[in-house]
Formats: sequence, structure tokens, C-alpha cells
Amino acid sequence: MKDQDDIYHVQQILAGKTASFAYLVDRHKDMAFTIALKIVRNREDAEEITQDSFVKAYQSLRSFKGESKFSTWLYRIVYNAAISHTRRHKHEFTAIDENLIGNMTEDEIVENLDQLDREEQSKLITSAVDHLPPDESALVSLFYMQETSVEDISRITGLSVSNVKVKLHRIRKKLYDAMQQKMVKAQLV
Amino acid sequence: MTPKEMQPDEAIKRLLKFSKPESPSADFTARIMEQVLAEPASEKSWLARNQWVLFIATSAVFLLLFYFPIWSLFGYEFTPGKFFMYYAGKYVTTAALWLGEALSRFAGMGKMWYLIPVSVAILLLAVFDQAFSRRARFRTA
Repeated sequence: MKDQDDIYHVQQILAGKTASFAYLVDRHKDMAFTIALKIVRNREDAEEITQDSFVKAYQSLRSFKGESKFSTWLYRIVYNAAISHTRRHKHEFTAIDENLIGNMTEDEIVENLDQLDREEQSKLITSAVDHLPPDESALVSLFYMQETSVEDISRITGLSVSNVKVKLHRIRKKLYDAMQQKMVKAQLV
Repeated sequence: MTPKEMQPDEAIKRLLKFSKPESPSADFTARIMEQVLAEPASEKSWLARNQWVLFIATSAVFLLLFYFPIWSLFGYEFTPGKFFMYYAGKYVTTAALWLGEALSRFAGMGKMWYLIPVSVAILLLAVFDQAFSRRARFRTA
């Protein structure tokens, strides 16, 4: 239904009702900004990228054929702009220290996580996501937070469906490793 | 494996449940709308919208003019098809002669006269490749 609303507003804009674009901005700004932020890891840059992407989307709205969801089309613009930005400004991220990874099973990690309060859990997962490379961090937001389908992620990122699946599988493993490392470091286990 | 089979990891999903998407600053929408309203969506020109129709129509007129010279502005009394063959033959022969002459002159030059333009051409190709790939990256962004 919401996707139909998007199409309706796109048609309104193309018919000359520019004000309808505010609806699309309001509806998608948070996720678009989150994708940019996960990739560039700087609020000012992310906001600038998101703003430019919305303006670019508006200017090329006629090329949106409705073959995919409006959000997919928009997030692709944001994703490409953010990735391009990171290529120009190399960002450093801390990889997981392999030496600190224990040998807990995933079930044991989940059990230990369940003993923590919500705030600690939230801190742990946020920190683990931040240790992922920028593009993988954005995939987590799309797949787990926005519940975007693998096919739509493939359209947004330009990766093949099978490549997205492989990446998501590796990301899952990395997140467990990172959470385990954090727990070992913080002596939560 | 179909895309439907790829399920999110339940534990990670549960942990991320409370992580809400980040929000940009409060005046974000207003700033975009200000920018958008300042420059209305560029409407494609009539020429751009009808480029294929124009191309087909122009090609059709030219083909007709070539095939039926009696209708053409040239006024030659050729039978259908002859006009096209006549000009095709004339210009292909001229082009072939010109090319042959250019090649024979080129063959008579010394080695340096060959190496210099080839080096320049390679350099230009590298510059063009760089410029083109940068533009492509920019467009993708």
C-alpha cells in the first residue's frame, strides 16, 4: 500500500505538483540517511550525500519507470553516492582481532547475550556492526532493519543475488565473531 | 536456493530490533524542498522526446529520395534504385582512392614518422580512457 502511495506521489510530481516530493522525502529520509551514515560514518557527510541524492532523484524522476519500488531506486542512488564518497575519502575501520575471538558456538554466544540487559545488547550489536566494512554495514541495515529482500538489495547495491547471499552469510559470521570478541574484552563471559 | 529461502538470523534480528534508523537534522525536508522548488524538474524537450520518430522519418525521406530520384530535388532521370547505386559507386570509389593514396604516402615515410603519431595516439587513447572512466564513475555516483 505504501509503495502504491509512492507511485501516486511520483505521478503527482511529474504532473507538476512539486510539493508532493516532501511526502517522499519524509517517508524515506531516515533509511536513506542511515544507509549513507553506515557507509561514510560521518553525520555531516551522510546528510550532504542524502540531500544530494534526493535532489538527484527529483531531477531524474522521469527515468523512474516503476519497475522496482521507489525506495529501491532511491536507495540505489544514495548507496552509489556514499560508496563513491568513501572511495574519494579513504575511511579506516578496525577489523576484528582474530586473536581475541574465542571458541564459543553461536548458541553459546546467544545464551550469553540473553543474560545482558537491553542496553548492553544494543551497544554490543551496534559496535559489532560498526566494525564491518562500510558496504557490509549498509547491507545489515537494509536486510535486518529495513527487512529489504535479497533481490531488492541486489538492485540497490548492483551485486548479484548470489553475491548478496554470500555477503550476508559472511556478515552474520563476522557479527557473531565481533560480539564474542567484545564480550571477551569486556569480560562479560 | 531461491531468494525467499534466505532468512535473517533471528538472534541478530532480535538484537537490531531496537536499533531505529538514524534521522537527519530537523530541517532536512525543508532544505530539500527549498532546493527542489528553486529548480523545477527539467522537462525533456520536444526534440528529445521525439528523437526516434524524427530519426525514422528523416531516414525514410532520404531512402525515398535515393530510391525514387524522380521525386528528388536532383532531377536525375534514373530508374528506381539506379540513383543510389550510382552515388554509392561514385563515393566508395573516391573514398577507396583517397585511402589508397594516403596509405601509400604513409608507407613512404621513415620509421620516426610512424612511431611519433602512434605514440601520440596511444597517449591520447590513455587520456581518453582515464577521462571516460572517471566520467562513468561520476555518473554512477
